[in-house]
Formats: sequence, structure tokens, C-alpha cells
Amino acid sequence: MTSNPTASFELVFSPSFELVNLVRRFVTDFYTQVVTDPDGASRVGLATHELLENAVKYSRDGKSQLRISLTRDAAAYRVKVSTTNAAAPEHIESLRRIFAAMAQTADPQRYYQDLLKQVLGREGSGLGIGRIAAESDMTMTLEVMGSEVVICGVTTLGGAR
Amino acid sequence: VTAPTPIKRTFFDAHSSADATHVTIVLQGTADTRVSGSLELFLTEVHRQAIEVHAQQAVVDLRQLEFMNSSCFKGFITWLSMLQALGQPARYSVRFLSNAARHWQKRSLTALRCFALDCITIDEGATAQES
Repeated sequence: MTSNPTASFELVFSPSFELVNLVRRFVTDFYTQVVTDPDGASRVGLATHELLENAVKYSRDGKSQLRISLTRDAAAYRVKVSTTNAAAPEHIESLRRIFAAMAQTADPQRYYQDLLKQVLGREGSGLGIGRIAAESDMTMTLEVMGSEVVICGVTTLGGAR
Repeated sequence: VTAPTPIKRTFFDAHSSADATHVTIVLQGTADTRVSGSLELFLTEVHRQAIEVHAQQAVVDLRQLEFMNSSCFKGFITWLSMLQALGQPARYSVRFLSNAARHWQKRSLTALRCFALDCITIDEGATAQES
């Protein structure tokens, strides 16, 4: 596998909900063109949407950075989607709890089903993160540097053209 | 019987109809955070209407739904939880009409079916290309 991305793009912007929808459509269309795996393209689109909505809700300064990279590996692609934004301490704590809980369950589908039973009446349950892990089949990581939060999802898409 | 209040936004539309045995709801566009509260209320009203008309089934047409985010998805969890809490005489089934070209629907509906296995059926169709 090459360490350099085959393709990548990065957006630094003040996301709004309208823009989140535009970016999801763009990302889904982009990957539909690049790989012969429309389900994979849809998974990346879902992850992009959920991560950006999270950034809209919780970014401390209203800004967010979206990075998506694609690295070819024989007949497959490794895709990495990440958002970076400043967040309030209480949100960072909430994210740490969500990721710690997710790490305790080896199976993302099991974690997601357990989460669905617990979300009623709860705000900030991490349903979006759990959904990305289960429905987008992504390995999720959280990195915190001061007040800056990086949430990253990695998956493999089949059908390299 | 009070009909659920439709949701009409430029990017999203939800409306319903009912007959003697079915309540049908149609969702179109993109269901995101901007309508999650309205959608949850709408689904609660659909549930109330289904009970009032003694519906056997609620049909949920998602074929023109481009995308649904997790906060709107949570509205369906709330609805299905209310349905599961109903006693058997009042309980109705929920049938989803999905669009096979919108791949996220298959994954999300599979998760919903695992959550409420005894209440849900899914019809997979194939219409327009995902966008």
C-alpha cells in the first residue's frame, strides 16, 4: 500500500446544515465515480454527514475542517474521513465517554443496537458516532489536543476502477 | 380522529393519510437536524392516529427520502418504542417501502428491524439513482 493518498480533499469552512447536505451529495457523487461500489460511496456520504452535523452543533467557533483521503490498495481503497474543530470542555468529556463506551464493545453492531435501546430522551448520546461505526462500517477514533477535537473514521471500499 | 400535522419545508416533506385499516406516511427530501423535533412530533401523532383508527398497519414510504440523519432516525426509535409498549390488541405492524438505490436505507432499516423485530417488515424497491 502506498502511504500517499491517491486522492484527497480538505475543506475548511463554517458549516451550516444546508452546506452539510451539499457536501454529503458531493462526497457520495465523488466516490460513486471513483469506485464501483455504490454502497461504499453511500457509507462515506453517511459518515461525512454525521460528522459535519456534529461539528455544526458543537464547534466552539463555528468553524470546522473536513478531510477525506483515499489510498489505493490493489483492488480496494482505504478511505479516511475526519473532522477537526474546537469544542467546549463538556463536549470533549462527552465525546471521551462515548468513545470509551464504544471501545468496551468489540462488535460495533452490538454496540449500536445497545445504544438504540438507550437513546430515548437523551441528548448527546453519541448515536451519530455509533451509526457511523455500524452502518458505515468504519473504525472510529477520537483525538483531543487542547480544545481541538479530531474525529476520524476509516473504512475500505471495494471496486477500485 | 386528528390527522398528523404535515411537515413542509423546502428540503423535506412529511405527510400522511389513513383509511379503515392503514395509516400511510410519505417522507421526501432530506431529514436532518432542522426537522428532527417536528418529525418526532409527527411520528407521535401518526402513532396516536393509528391507535384511534384501529389500524392494522402503518406504511412508511421512504422511496423519495434522499437521506435521514441520526437525530431523525431517533424519532423512529421513539415511535417503535411506543408501539412495542402497546398491548397486543392495539398493536399494529409497520411496513417500510424503501429505495434500493439509496443504499443507506438498507443499512438503517436493518438496524431498525433488529431493534423491533416483531413489528417491522421492509419492502425493497429499485427506483432512481442515489444522489
